[in-house]
Amino acid sequence: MTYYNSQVLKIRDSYLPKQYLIDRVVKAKQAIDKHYCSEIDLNFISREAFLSKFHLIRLFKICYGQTPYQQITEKRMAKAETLLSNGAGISETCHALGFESQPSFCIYFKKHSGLTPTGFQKKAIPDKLV
Amino acid sequence: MKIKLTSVTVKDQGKALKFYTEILGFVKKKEIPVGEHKWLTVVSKEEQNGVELVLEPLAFEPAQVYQKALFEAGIPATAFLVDDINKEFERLKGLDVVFSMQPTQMGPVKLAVFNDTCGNNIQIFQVL
Repeated sequence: MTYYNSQVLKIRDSYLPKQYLIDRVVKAKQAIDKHYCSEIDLNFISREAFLSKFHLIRLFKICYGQTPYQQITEKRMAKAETLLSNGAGISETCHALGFESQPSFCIYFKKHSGLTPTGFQKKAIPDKLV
Repeated sequence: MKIKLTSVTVKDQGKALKFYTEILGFVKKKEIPVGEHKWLTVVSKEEQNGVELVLEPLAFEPAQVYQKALFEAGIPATAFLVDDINKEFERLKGLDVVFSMQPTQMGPVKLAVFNDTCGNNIQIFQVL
């Protein structure tokens, strides 16, 4: 066994949560991966993972370095940027991500990217008439 | 400021280009002759405008010592993200790639480490 292999196992066994807890956090992450485009909340994710909300947030942060909410936001923003860069309209993007109204999507997008969806699209596709 | 390049030092650029394209499946992006070496980069097939990996010649002697020490300790020079590590492990093993670490779960990540035949250990990882 190499030095690196032994260090990986040592860190895993000494500092990371037990495997059954990791499995539950992974379940939460999979629920986010599957449902981030719809209205999911902490109640839903914690039920999927069989963890209390408190433990879910704590363990999720240990495992992935961010809270479930931060992960949902990151995934939604990445999806929004991909859709807008590919020429999708703002209304289409807003509905694809499960937002109920266009203004709330625009506020959310601006808060997280610093640009309005229109501004982002103008930068990503300079020739597109938006 | 953007992160556009990363690099691994390789013993032989020609051999490295073959390994990184034909075995790993990357795509050559730039090959510019510079004296006895080349400015040689590859990119991921799925992100051809993404970060370029420079296959850097190992001409500087202290770098050779450093690379050798990392290699002997099994420490990866860099790491690449994969969608399905078990599938990638089987695919690479089928191409006679030698692994020093089989797919191993570490928290919510699975890791494996292989020899790139150019003096480096390379890690692949899947985020579960």
